[in-house]
Amino acid sequence: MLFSYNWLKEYLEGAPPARELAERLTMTGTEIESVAETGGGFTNVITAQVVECEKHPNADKLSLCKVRTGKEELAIVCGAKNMKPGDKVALALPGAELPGGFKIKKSKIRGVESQGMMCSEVELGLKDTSEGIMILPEDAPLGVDFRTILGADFMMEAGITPNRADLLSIRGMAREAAAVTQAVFKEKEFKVDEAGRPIAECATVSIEKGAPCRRYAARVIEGVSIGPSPDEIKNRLEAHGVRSINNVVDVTNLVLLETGQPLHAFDLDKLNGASIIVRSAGEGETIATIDGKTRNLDPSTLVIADANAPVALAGVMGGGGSEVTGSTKRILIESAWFEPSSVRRASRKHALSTESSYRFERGVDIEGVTRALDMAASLVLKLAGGKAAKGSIDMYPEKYAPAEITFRTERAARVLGVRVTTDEALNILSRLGIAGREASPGIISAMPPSYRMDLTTEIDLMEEVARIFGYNNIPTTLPIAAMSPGETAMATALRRSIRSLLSGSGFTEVMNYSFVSRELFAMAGVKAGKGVELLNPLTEEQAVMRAGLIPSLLENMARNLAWKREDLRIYEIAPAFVPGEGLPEERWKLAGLLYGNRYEPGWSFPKDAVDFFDAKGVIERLFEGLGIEGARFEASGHPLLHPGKTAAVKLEGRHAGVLGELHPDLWGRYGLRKPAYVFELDIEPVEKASGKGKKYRELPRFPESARDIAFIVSEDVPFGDIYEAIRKTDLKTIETVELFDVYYGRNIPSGTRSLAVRVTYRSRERTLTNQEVEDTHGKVVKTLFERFKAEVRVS
Amino acid sequence: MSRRVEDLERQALDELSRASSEREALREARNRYLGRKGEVAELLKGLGTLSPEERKKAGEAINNLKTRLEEAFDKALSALDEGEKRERLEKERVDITLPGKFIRPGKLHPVTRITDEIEDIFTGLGFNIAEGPEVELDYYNFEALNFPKDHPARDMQDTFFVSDEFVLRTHTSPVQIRVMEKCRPPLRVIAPGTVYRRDSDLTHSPMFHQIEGFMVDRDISFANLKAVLTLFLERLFGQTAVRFRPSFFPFVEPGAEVDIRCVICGGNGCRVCKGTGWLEILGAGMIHPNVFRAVSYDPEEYTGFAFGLGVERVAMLKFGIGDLRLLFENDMRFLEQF
Ligand SMILES: [Zn+2]
Repeated sequence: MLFSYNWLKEYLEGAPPARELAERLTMTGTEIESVAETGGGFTNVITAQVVECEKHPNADKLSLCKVRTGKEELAIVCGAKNMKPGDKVALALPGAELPGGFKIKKSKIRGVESQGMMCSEVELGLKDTSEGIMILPEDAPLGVDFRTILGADFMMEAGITPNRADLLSIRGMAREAAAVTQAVFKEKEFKVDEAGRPIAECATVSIEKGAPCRRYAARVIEGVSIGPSPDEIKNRLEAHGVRSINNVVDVTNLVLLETGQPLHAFDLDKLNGASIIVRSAGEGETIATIDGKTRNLDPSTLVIADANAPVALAGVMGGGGSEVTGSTKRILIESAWFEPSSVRRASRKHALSTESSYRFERGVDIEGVTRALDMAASLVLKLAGGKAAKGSIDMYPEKYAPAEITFRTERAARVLGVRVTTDEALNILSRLGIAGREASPGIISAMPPSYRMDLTTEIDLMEEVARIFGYNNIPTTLPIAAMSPGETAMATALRRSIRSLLSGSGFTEVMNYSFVSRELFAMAGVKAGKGVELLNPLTEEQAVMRAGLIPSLLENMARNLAWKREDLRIYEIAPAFVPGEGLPEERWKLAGLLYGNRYEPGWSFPKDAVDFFDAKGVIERLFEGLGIEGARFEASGHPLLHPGKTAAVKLEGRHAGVLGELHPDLWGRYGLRKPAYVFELDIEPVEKASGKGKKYRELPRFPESARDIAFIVSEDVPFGDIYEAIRKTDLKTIETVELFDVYYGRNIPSGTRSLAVRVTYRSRERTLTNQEVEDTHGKVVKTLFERFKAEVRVS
Repeated sequence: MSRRVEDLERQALDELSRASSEREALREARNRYLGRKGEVAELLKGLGTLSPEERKKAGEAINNLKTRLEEAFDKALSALDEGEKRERLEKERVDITLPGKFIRPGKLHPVTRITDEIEDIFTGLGFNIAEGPEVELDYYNFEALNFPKDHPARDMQDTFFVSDEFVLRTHTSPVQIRVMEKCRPPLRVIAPGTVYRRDSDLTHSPMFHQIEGFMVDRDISFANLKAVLTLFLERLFGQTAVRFRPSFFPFVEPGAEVDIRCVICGGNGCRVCKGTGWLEILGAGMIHPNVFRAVSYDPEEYTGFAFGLGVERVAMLKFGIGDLRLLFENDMRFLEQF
């Protein structure tokens, strides 16, 4: 909320300087986000007096004046004619800066030196037009900073938290300022001169039973003349972001800002039956609000109606039909109290948030309703004339009854960690307008004022005591707690291990938004078409929660290629969202992408590009690092991937993810010049398969014996099958099977390839004899021939 | 005899110096003088013709000669070895200013780095790490945290809705409720995670990261909150002034905002701290009795504090990142700096 320091001071005696007040308010919970000095958008302008004026020797239209500042006499060249000796003026000295960044320096004008400039109101940024220089009152002191004469103001921007509705006004803020400083709060006095006929002859008000309106007060003024407000009021409204409309509307707005009580003025002659009925809207009723929109109503919305139709959305906005216009003669001013939740629902339903609804939603002081009404009436009489009807209407069936709250000093000491004595607490409460008494030793019975609707329980009072006592006066005491280890969730620990392993493989972590466009969502290749969609996305680019991470990584690749990046190794760990019975299922995934050179371009590394097996190797290295054994890779398919270069990853027989080369059809979309490889793993099966805990395996005590085999076999036979077949020939003595060559091409029939493997034999019980090794190896050769039609060349 | 010894020595040393740069010639010469049938051996043979006294004297002289010549030849040979080795090594010289070869490790996202750092500080204080879902029930995100329906406090957090009941969590505070529903005090927990608010501009991202923390036990006070958070901020930012200001969050009371001295200007006032010299870094407070009631804890028996902070903000301050959007653009030129 924006408010003027000078306006605040109208309610305060002994207010501290603006910045000091701002600091104090901030430290007691009313954050002053900014303090801007206004009406003083200049520096180095002082008051001075004209001593004499002569014609400029070299220019007819200019004058040469002698001006005294009290300290010295200066020669000033001036183009204006309206000053005469003895006039007090605002003098900009060399070095002064005026609004618009205009800088004053000593300069020669037509051969005569001018030692400053006498300013007009326009030049000082005080008005839009002016004639000649500004002449100050005769009693203005000499040689002082002109800003002090202007009574420069400070506009303060306060961040008001939703619990402090009572601070949404000048008067409320002043009350708070008095509570937290040495300043004294003083009320303004005003009186309504009720010179008209009795109000009962002018209008009637009724509230429908059960309507969310606990108080409705009104006054009538007849014979008003509508016109513009005086500048003083216009300026004040504008400084607070409110546009000036006419004197009556301006008064309602001014009083709203000053007291926090929203008011509305109706043109009484336009209210059918001169009556106000507070009721629920009827089904099918409409209202044209003053913003020019026609709104369809239903019984969930509370309206103010006349005898025929709604004339205002209660607490939100008035209707155009009954608004005060230039021809209005008789007005009815409404000051009411509507249920916060009712106003909030109406405001949201009609997407209409106003100064009025904002305050009603948060809670207006029900006891301040008539006070604001009287203030408004007295101001209208002053500005628009007319006669106020005798008496006022005040429908207030159920009076406000303050609640009694118990405050235990013992309990406060436990919660705050510092002992505040009963006297101290009573003193603080009373500064805040909370009536308290010591009901029994250490127990205070307190009654908050009607404007503090946020104070309903003991903890609310503790906060009040604590904030005035000062948070920084509460000691810092480390808690005493039973010793216990800080545990990291399994998932957190696993993600950390994955990150560290991937860092070692040269992968950099990226972070993408969880919501993506529908197109990107669909690319993730989820079978069920529907995802977790947002009802109110910010943009279509962020409409659905993603079901997979690969499309986001592809976008990252495209952007980095556009930034002239040639090589990429990136990964992301994040949940994918799958609609479920209740809350969506959140499946944590790890996805990665490789593109470009295998090694960083350097002076000595080979310059070949990554291929499928680099991607596979990343996963194998990751599993190795996580202690996962027995991962299987099976030829598979995926809509984004090359049909011949896609593998499904299996862990413990379960599907755990996919890896492969980006489908060549997609190269164009991403501007690729080389193939890209991606993988995506589900964290959950990875978590299950890892963390088995390492166990030491006894070092071999007997020698090994290795045999190489080279053979030609059909290309269609997967190496994985051959590997399994060899291992299973004798699980006891075949220790490892390593592929060391793959060859296609010359000397090999087409459709076949040559593979070379080294088989290592070793027993854990004894040294194998040469014959035993030869026998087993023979079986391996036989298996290769019989199962795979392999033509063994060397064995 | 002694003349012959002298002559032989002179002759041998002459030859040595002539052959000193050729290994073969040196070996030959050494052999010729010191071999089994060499000149020195010959001299020794001649001893038999001398009287016993002369023999002893001459024998001594010849043996000394032998030692001297051996030393001289060995020295010349090893000098030759040294020279050759030096030459060979010289040829192996590399340009040590060429860049080293290494496989560049990947980098962690700055948000991860800061999250890890904060997690480590709190686990060091005995806090456990918990997590919760990102699509959350309205109940956990708001109601159980004392944000009633139709209450303006809900305006504090612009919310993405998935349905009437489900929202993208606007803070990590719902994890408080989930943990307290399952466990009884004493509790020391932090909950890092991704959160979402319907807000996007220079200083707001619709997705960002928070770390929630809370401690509940029989006698946890505001003074404890101050001590733990001050300790934490000093670990995170180094020795720094910390101040606590009253503020409002529905799920805590008394509520506080915690500022540190501006790390950019040191408190003199700058653009980052909007001239105040302070940076708001944490929201905190004593857990509201209504929150305890929502999880069936007796608020008379237990008290506790809770706090939350934005990870991106800390990352920006610690790394001097001026533009929030950089954190989610995934520009490698940016990410590789961390
Ligand atoms: Zn600063």
